[in-house]
Amino acid sequence: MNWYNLAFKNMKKSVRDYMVYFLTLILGVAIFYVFNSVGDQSVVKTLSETSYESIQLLLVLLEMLSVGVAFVLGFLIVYANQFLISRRKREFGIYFLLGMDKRDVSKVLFAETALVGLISLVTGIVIGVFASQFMSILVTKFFDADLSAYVFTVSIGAVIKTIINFAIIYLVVLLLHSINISRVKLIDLLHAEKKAEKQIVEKPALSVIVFLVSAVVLGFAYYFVGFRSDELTRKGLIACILTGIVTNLVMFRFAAGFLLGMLQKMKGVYFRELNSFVIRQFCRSINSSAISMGIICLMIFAMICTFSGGISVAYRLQQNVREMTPVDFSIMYTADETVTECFEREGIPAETWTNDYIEIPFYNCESVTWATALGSVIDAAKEQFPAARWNTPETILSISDYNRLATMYGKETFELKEDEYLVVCNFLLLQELRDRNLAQGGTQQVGNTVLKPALPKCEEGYLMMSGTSSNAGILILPDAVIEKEQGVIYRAGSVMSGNYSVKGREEIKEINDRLWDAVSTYTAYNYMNENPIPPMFFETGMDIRESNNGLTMIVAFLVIYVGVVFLIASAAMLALKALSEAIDSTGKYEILKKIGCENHMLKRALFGQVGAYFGLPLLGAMIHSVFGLLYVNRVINSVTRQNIGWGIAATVIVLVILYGAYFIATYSTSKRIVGLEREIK
Amino acid sequence: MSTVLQVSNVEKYYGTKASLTKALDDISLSVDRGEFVGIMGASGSGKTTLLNCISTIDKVTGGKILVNNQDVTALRGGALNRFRRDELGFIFQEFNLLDTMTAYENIALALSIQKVPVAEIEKRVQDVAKKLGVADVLSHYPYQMSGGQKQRVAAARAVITNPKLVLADEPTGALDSKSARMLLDSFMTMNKELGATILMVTHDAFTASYASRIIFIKDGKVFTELTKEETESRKDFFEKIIHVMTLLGGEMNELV
Repeated sequence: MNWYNLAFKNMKKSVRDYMVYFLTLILGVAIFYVFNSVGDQSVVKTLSETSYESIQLLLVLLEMLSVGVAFVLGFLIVYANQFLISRRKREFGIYFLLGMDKRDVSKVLFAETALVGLISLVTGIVIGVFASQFMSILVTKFFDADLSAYVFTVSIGAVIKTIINFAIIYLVVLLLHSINISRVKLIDLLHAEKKAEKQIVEKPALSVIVFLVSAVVLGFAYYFVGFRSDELTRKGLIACILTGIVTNLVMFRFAAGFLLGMLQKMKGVYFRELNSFVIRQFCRSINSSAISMGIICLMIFAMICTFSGGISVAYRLQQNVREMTPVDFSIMYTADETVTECFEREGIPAETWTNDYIEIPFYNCESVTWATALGSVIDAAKEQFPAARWNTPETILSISDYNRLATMYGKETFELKEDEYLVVCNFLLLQELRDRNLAQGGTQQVGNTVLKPALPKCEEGYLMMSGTSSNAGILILPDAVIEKEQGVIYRAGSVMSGNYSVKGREEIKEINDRLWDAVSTYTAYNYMNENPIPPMFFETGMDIRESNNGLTMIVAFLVIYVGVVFLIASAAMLALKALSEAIDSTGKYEILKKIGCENHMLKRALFGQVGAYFGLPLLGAMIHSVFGLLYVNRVINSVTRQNIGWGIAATVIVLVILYGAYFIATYSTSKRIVGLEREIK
Repeated sequence: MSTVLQVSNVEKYYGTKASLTKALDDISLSVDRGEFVGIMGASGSGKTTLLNCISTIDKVTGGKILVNNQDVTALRGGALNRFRRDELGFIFQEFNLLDTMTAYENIALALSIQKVPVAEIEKRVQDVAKKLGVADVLSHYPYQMSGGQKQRVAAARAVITNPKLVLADEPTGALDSKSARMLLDSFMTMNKELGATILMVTHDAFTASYASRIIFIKDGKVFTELTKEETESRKDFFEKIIHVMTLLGGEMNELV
């Protein structure tokens, strides 16, 4: 028989046993292609300028992340190959015994690796090309791209990049193979599988103690991250994370001994039916790969936190944009003339492009600044934000003007008594400080009038439409007060908001462009100029929506890319370990069948054995996540006022589907391997 | 004495019609309660096939095997597993202990899969371990034990359930002579003190000499039988066995 035939036969067997791993290779290639081909999708070329900028940013980020992803996949492949080769020592021993020399064996390995690499690359790219067409649909959904421009695209750049990337990985594998082969001794190869099993759990008592001590230490880290994160400095957080990593690994190392120590005490459970065997197999599984399981646990934990956080942010961005863009345009002009007058002068009178708008003036008062508006809270504020310019004058609006604006924006209107004022704000950090002052009933002096708060907290809202919640605060006063205090209150500018008279996307875009052209000298305000042109801020609903959608997509893409790659790499590694363990324990199941164990007991044993590999890292990651997510939730909540419930839901779905699929595939392959699907030989 | 095992006209064929191998060719034999029976024969004589058929690990082509008056060739699925679990005990050449478990756990396993209460397990394991001389290695793992100890632990696992029949396949095959002797002494203990009925396949005359009756198999048929007299010494019995083996082996069979 031809040597190569022999090798290919052996490879076919290992492909069958480790199918899950080979599918992961293909999946890895496909994902790599899909995310690297985004830029070349036909619909991308139809994007508007704002969206185009977003996607350029996305492409740069994807490119950077792809380096990391390449490392993760490279590690998986190299690790898996080293592992699979180490399990074929006996086979190589026989080749040597039959007279093949090392170069021949290296050649056989070369052919195998090249074949596996080629098949996975070609299949992966083909799958990737089809899957990437879905990306076109996603791109059109998130950005305002034109689906009619869609044509079936193959990104040559991405293909080349994928091929080069994986070719390098396989070259590393080949190099390591030949180093391995050149260093082996025949006697070791032949005895490789005969070595007595000696890694049984020792000293359960010690394990129990070490495990419990680590658990307590980890508990402290959990407590600080989960419940005292306000007081955590950056250094403290890093210390907590490092503590978590170390105790996590220590606990995995001693988990088997701990479990065994505890369960053996419960004789009634331990010696019931096949439990002693199940528990032993379970512990052996943990013991044989404690450190890899610990690392994978951390990877899954990282995936859960980034995925939950990222998806929440993306979801929030989507939600936000609807509240944030109630009108087509919003213009703020700090000048003596009004916006309408300015446009008139520029030759594009308002009537020609809008029939639904308001323009309202806003005021300043020298003696009313951020500092005075915060009352007694100012000292705390200065401590918290030492760099802020607290003498910035407050923006002041009359209640009747504000109500017109609120009606335009679809928000609640208010009534103020003669001696009351209202604060509208949505910039979270300042809002909290302002709320504290309002809750204390902090009064506000304007000229000779002293006003008290109408509400014990800020009303959420804004004067100018914008993509972020960045309204630091406006003071709403009764019309009579503004009238009365004309001596100190003066007009500072005006805001014009409204909708265009046209509705279609293309038409709105055209007006936007025309307005931008007309006011570009005002918006490009130059502080260096001796005689500055009064500044104008111009925001359009369309721009905010598009950049927001772009941002959503960037966050979602990156998170999914990294999350999925992390997850499949972890799951594939676990599958490899669990499958090889199943192969090793074939004999044990054969013995149990011979002494008359019933099939359902054996299935349970195998389920426990395979389940240990998948369940324990997941369980660990889930426990870590409870506290990690508390922290993530706080961070995200403070920035977006969004809880991460949606993100967690999405994460659970992805975890259940991907991780579950790997577990089921591994379990059913294991059943076949240990022969639970056939009678005794 | 009641009959524990009754093998009647059992046939086992391998291969296709064109090239048929008759591993068992219309073989019949019986074993009584409390007997220690050895089965001898050269490689390929069909002795292991016979054992596999009795233990229901292999299926017969024809004939009947009654264990305790129950036809085991008719058993299927769960009933088959239960039969093996409750009525038979196994001892294999390669020990077949579970290497992740201690000696104690290995022995206890046979009882726990029968759902015996824990308190009783403890007592019975200690008891049988003492009788078979493995009480002091109960907390050891297989890799910490000698071959002889492992095989005695395996023997303990086989008899602890009080099976109707203990089947031993070349139990001394992987042991040195001293360990083999200790194991066979344990077999005698099992047979005499625990009342176990033992059917042992071997090709080693010394091992066989511990049995009370020996059935010689050749080409899938019973060739002859030797019974040890009450007064006969094991040495004399051993010489008789050697004599039959000489007749069995090689060209000598032309003389018969």
